Amino acid sequence: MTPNDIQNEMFDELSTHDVGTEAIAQHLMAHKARRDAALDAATSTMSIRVQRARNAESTGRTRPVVRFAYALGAAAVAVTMVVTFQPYDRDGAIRIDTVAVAERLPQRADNDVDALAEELTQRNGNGSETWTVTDADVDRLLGEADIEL
Amino acid sequence: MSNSVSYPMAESNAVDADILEALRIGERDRAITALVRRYQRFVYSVALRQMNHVEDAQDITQDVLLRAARFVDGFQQQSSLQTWLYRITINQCRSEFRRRRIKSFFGIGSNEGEVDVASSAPLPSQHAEERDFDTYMQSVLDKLPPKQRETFCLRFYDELSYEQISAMTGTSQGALKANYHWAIKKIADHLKESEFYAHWSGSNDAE
Repeated sequence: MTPNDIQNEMFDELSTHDVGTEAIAQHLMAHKARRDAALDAATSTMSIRVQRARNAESTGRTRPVVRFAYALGAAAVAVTMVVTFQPYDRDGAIRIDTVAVAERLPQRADNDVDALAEELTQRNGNGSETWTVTDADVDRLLGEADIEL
Repeated sequence: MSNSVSYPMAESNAVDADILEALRIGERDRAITALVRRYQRFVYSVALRQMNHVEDAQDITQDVLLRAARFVDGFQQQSSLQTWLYRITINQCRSEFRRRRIKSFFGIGSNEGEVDVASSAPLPSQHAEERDFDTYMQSVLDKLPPKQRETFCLRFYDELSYEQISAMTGTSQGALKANYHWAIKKIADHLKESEFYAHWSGSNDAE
């Protein structure tokens, strides 16, 4: 191994501090070579990792929709359960139509998710690579669905 | 003192030009592949110094290169790609440390204190003495102040010019040379007292 300018510079500096570079130079160069080899080994699959991650990014853009669907579904179920198990009022005069509410909410949530999924599909089809579901999108759709999470 | 190492910068400029030209003519995949292959080792090297943990450094490297692939179209060319990647890597590492501090504050897992550097993962063919020396050198570097350590590593291990390091770190070349000088002085002081130096010097004398 022939030292390059930077290595020669370092050995010159070491010698000014009374380190015999003849003794240490080859070991420092070998140490650097081993370090380089270790770095190469550690990054040998990095191209593949990055490519896979890029592929996952490009094909996984609808994942926020799935998460949103879960959130919306869970909210609908929660509301339904609260309404379903809501007891009669004290006087017994008012009675919530639990069956109707339970039927309507999930159906409504499903429709909203379908609409969002459709919108996402269209945007992806237009090649908008950086588009993701934003808080504003979620707020807008929740607002349109008249649901508070 | 020699401070003109031209080949890494010239090579870096040529690779940058090739990558940016590929982007300009619409060959995005080729450009990103070239960017990853050219700079993956450098990004990993920086991340490893910051994180001191092989798998963390690999994850950071992947994140940095992914971000670079995502945003390289908007690269303003106000610096070299290497400088741009260095800054992204440092920011990514700092974000990771912040995230860990928050997690640690709330007691959500913690792997702080884990140290697993590349040099501690020996290759199968590596001799015990070589492995020990690599570990020793890492311990010496760990004792250096952060700026001296980073300057030394960017200069000696990553083979960058002072001009490149200055652009990356925002430190003047004069200050970098001073940091490098002090780093080598401290390394020399440690080396002179080490058993490796005694052994290798003795061997040389005997020959």
